[in-house]
Amino acid sequence: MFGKLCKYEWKYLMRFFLPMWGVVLLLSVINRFSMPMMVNGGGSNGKEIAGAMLFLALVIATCAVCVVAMVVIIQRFYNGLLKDEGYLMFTLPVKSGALINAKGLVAVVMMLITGVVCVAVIFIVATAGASWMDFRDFFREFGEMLRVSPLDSAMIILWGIVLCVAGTAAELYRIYMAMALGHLAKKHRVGWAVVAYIGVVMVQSTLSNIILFNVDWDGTWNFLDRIVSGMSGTQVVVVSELAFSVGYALLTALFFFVTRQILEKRLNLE
Amino acid sequence: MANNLVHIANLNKSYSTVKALDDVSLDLEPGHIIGLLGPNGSGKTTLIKVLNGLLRPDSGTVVIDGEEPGPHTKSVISYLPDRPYFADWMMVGNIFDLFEDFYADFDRPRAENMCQTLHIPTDMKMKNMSKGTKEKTQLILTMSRKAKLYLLDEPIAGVDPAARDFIMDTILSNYNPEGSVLISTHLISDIEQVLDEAVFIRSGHVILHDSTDNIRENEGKSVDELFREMFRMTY
Repeated sequence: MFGKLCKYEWKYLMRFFLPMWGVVLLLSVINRFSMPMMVNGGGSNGKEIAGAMLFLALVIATCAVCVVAMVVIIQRFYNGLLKDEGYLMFTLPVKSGALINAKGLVAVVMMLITGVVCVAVIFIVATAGASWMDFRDFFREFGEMLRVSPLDSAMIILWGIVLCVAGTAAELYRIYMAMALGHLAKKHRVGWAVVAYIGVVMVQSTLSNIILFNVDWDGTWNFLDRIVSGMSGTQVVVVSELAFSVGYALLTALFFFVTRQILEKRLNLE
Repeated sequence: MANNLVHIANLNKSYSTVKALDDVSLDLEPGHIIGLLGPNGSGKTTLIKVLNGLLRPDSGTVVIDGEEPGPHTKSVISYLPDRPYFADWMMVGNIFDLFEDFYADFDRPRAENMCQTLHIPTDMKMKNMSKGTKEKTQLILTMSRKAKLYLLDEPIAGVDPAARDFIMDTILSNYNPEGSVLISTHLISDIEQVLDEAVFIRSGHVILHDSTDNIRENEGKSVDELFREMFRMTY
């Protein structure tokens, strides 16, 4: 059942995301060829202005994709579970947790692909200012790094990806939890969801500050020093990535638990 | 309780200071068509939503087919809400896919036949449908399941008499006779002839639950007449 829920989420979100990704990638390819003309326009104002306009369009489109991606995902959760469509979703023979996680999992994947698309845009545009020789050098150096220490490099990249996934999941589930908390209000639920989100961020920030100002730094540094002293640079990076990933995973679990409890015990589709 | 399809005991639900359901107790057996009858705001929709798991009660017990509201009860309940609940972008065929994926008792050929009879193309998007066509599509989906319990929330409210006949015909010719149908309405004269039982609800209280034959025999009047008499005082 969980796979089927994911399938419907995927279908729904791809209707928005696929055209968005297509537009920015197309714009970046156009810019790849228009930028050299703009830079070496040979004094032609028309080409320079057209090139500048295309570049501006790419920057705006890339920023818009990131914002719209977030808005679509938030709307999908709110409209899909807490408005009229919730009548359909909450009468399906599945647990509330599966409904939340299907939305969360597909949303995380969409956000990660959006991140990859943004990196690809930068990469494509960057080739406009660099010769293919520069890129050959870049790939050669990257290949050299993998060749010299393949395991270390692979570990850093792998745990870096895990960290990205965990961080994205924690942020999305925090937003889901805020919407669920807003749902507890009798009226103005969207407004209360915003207030709840700000409240959660403030609580997290306050707790961080309390820990930061009360921790025994000398003891902590000594403790950390003892741990990392026997480690290579790569291992320190990997352990840091791992530690942050675990932290994000714990936060995601907490946000999920609260959201599920509210939707299971306090659901009020009036 | 052993033979009951639905067992409700001491159910309470409030919205702020308003008591929507006040100590409701009710048992429903399988194989019956039951009218949940009451004026607007009497608690009919609230009771149906609680049975569906769309609302959580403040207190009390709800058991359907031996279990509390959850994935199992949702798999045996076919629900017609009082509003359109499908995403606008979905086509009728998409919704059939969804029902086929999630409900083992969904009879797709029957749903497609009904659509064909009513000239509703399966590649039509919900956003392009009129209000009436949306309602018909929802009814087709609800009645194309071989459910144990059909919960129909105001299926004939706000439609013309011809459409009411169509809706009632669709319900009667398609429901699973081994299951029960709970129809909420305040338009009793239109459905009285098909009801086996009637539940009168007022201000969140169940004030009468009996077979329609008993009501006619004991009271010497139709269910509609008794309803009008009992609820006249409340207006």
